[in-house]
Amino acid sequence: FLFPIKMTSPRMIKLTSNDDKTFEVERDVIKQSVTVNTLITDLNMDDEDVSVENQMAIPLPNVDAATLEMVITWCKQHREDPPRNEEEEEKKEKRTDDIPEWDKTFLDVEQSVLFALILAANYMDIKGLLDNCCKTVANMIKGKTPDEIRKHFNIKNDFTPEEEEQIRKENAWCED
Amino acid sequence: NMCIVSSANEQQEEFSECHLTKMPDDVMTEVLLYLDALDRNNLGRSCRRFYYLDNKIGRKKFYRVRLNVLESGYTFLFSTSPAPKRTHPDEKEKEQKWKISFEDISDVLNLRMFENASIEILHISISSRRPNDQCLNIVFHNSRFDSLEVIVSRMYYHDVSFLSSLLRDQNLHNSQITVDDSPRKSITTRISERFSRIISTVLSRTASNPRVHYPPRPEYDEGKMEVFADAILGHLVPASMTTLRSVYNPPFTTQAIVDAFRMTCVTEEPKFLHLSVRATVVAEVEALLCNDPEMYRDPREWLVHRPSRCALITPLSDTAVIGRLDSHGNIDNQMNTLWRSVIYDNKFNEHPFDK
Repeated sequence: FLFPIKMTSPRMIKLTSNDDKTFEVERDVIKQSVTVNTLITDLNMDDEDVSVENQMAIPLPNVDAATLEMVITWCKQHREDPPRNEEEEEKKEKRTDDIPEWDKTFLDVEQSVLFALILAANYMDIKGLLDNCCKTVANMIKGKTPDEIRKHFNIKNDFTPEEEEQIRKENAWCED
Repeated sequence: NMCIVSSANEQQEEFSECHLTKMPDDVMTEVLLYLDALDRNNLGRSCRRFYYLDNKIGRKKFYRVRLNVLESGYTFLFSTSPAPKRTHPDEKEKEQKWKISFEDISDVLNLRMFENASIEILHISISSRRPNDQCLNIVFHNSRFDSLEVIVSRMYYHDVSFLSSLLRDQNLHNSQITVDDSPRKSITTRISERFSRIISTVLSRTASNPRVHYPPRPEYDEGKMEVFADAILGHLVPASMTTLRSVYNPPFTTQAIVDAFRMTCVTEEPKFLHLSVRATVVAEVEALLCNDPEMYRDPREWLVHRPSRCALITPLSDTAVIGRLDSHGNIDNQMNTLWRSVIYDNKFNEHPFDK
């Protein structure tokens, strides 16, 4: 017997950024976003009878198009990653020298882009992306003095001189 | 022109956005968790928000924190590491000190460094009649400490119930409460009531290794102090503590020691008691237990309760050691180690097991 082979195209999901740009992304790729995944399930969007043309786009009001495009790129790159075991992740030693090379290059962007990506990863609940972004920021902070940190991130020093003196005393043990 | 350009650049720099400070707390907390204590401190010192966040996460480690509650205010002394061993006796722990008046306590920024801190030894000395719950709650509400030493002076003025809230959820390894009261005989009963209450409600629940510390005060009313000491022993032995060490000869009575021994025989968890007692009491306890047909003297001169294998050991004329024997007829290893430390602490040269 010969069975007819049904060629199925991958299931696509539509996402709309806050600046009204719509992206079509494979269901399998975007499953890494817990937020989107939950919405798809809750809204019964996995129904195969609905074509992508007739499908409702999922609005992402906290993410702009440029950032969403980056998020999708990251998700495509990591689509084959094994599912995360959060309990295992919690137990793992917190280290920042294990960012994959591809991610290192991908996240080597301007601060505004990196932080937009962090906010998007946080909103879309993409743990892997958020972790690597946080590690990248931690690496930017490491080894810097408070003044250098302020300069690097343009942070305003809002301590009063008295508070600063008190904090200096408080942290004298760090400087021993 | 150069000046104008420079000023414009400065202005632009001033107005350029800081993206890091816009990160929500949960994300920043993630970032902070990837930093070690020093890097986190540096970030915390960059601005007020990160300072609070850093302290909220806590995890600062102290070796010892001493809090003296005085009539005028509080004195904090803290160190991050113990004094190095085998150094000159004058070389002490490197401690830093703050004095804070009662009026300033509510808005003292630096107290937040103790939030969620990990403290090896927390030492609280109270010699004030003023309430101190507020301070203790601010400072130590979320900190973790392994050992607690409390010295309570003028205790009759002070409500010590704050200890209950302080010790809630703490998994204490060691605790020590010292009564350092004025030698007025008339107040000893009141001390005894309160102290018993602490012991029964706090230490017996939380401490696995409590230590009862009596400064020698010959002027105490001996009879009342015996009742007091016996009450403590009576509270502790049936409780969750596994090792109890008493120093400075609390005036336990013979009956209290015998009761403690009997209790140790029947408890499920093996307990180890190292009690400093008067020589006459040691002799009386031995004489009483010798008459028990279930007791026998082993070759090491230890008095052993046959059914429970609980032993009374009297290595010195003023020391009673009570503990369960293992299948080899020895005191359990962990307790053995503790005993060694007790013996060496007391500057005895030779361990009884080494004989």
